[in-house]
Amino acid sequence: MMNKKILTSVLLVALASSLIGTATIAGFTSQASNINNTVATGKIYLSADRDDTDPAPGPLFYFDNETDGAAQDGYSTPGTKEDGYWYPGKQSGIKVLDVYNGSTLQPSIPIKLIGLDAVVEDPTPENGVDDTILKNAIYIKVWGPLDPVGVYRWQGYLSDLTNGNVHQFATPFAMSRIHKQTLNFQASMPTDPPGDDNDYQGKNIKVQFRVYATQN
Amino acid sequence: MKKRLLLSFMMIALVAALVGGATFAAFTSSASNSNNSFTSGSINLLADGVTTTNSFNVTGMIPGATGTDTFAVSNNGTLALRYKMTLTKTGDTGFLTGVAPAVIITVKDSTGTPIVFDASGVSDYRPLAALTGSENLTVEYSFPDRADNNDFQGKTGSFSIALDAVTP
Repeated sequence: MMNKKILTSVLLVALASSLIGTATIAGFTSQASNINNTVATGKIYLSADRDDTDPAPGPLFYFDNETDGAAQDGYSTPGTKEDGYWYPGKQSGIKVLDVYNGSTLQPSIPIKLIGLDAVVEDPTPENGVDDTILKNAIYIKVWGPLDPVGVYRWQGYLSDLTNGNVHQFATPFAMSRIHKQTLNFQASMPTDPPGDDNDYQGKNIKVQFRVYATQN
Repeated sequence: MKKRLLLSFMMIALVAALVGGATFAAFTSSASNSNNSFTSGSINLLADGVTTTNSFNVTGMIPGATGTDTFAVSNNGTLALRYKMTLTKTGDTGFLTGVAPAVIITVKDSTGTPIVFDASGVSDYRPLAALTGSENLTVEYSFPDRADNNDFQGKTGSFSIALDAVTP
């Protein structure tokens, strides 16, 4: 008797649901949508050129324009800031590296330049003599053009820069999506460099500087 | 109770992982500037083309004796240099040494002008250009006749001129 009552209740509920459902489908309807939404990641377009009064790819530091200072192939711009020979007490002129984040054709994302390092490009000893010892005597300073005089984002020996670590700038350089940031480099050889000064005579070292960025 | 504790630990681990992941997820890039070269120069000071030379080996000297020798000081390094001379005299007392020695040593430049040495026997620095820089120095000795000649019979003495160069 009890089972019969339950069965009846269930059937009634099912019937009611069916009626309600039919009534809903029978009404006016409308729909709207928001489609073609895209999600794309940004990209950092970072590049750097030497600026010897006319930006062109080429080394910041070089002996002379004829030997190793000319701009890379495809650029006629000669180097105008020759260093000549290095010796204790010598200081280079201010070398300018233009770092670009993005361009009108390739907008980047906001970034900050966080640090730099260097790699010895020709570590092969010449005539059995390891010329890379010269990195122990070359002192590098890096700063921005608007920084106070005597305040550097990084300074230290070339041997520090080539030790395999990225060296953080004291303060990062913030760069917008399309932005050129000028970095000033200056090298010097102290009047009394570490070790025996004469160990540095007649040496040549070639290095690549690398500037690192991360999203801001 | 144990189940709740375990759940708490798992939640903390999950949050830590998310936070850590966020730190390492930033986009990065780098730009480089290649072929930077640093070439150090050199200085190489030579006397008559070698590092050590000799002017005199005089024996049997008598009062009135003089002698001269000229040697070339040169720099075949790639950097200009400046050098100083240190005149050192040793031997029997008063023969080469002292305020009024019996034998007088003089060094002159290529124009015949005597080089001035201070009380320590050190001269001023003199410049020499790179690669081809050279000048002739003349060394003279003289044993003038003097009243106390006999005091210097059988005496010996020696002198040397050390040349020390530095970068400008």
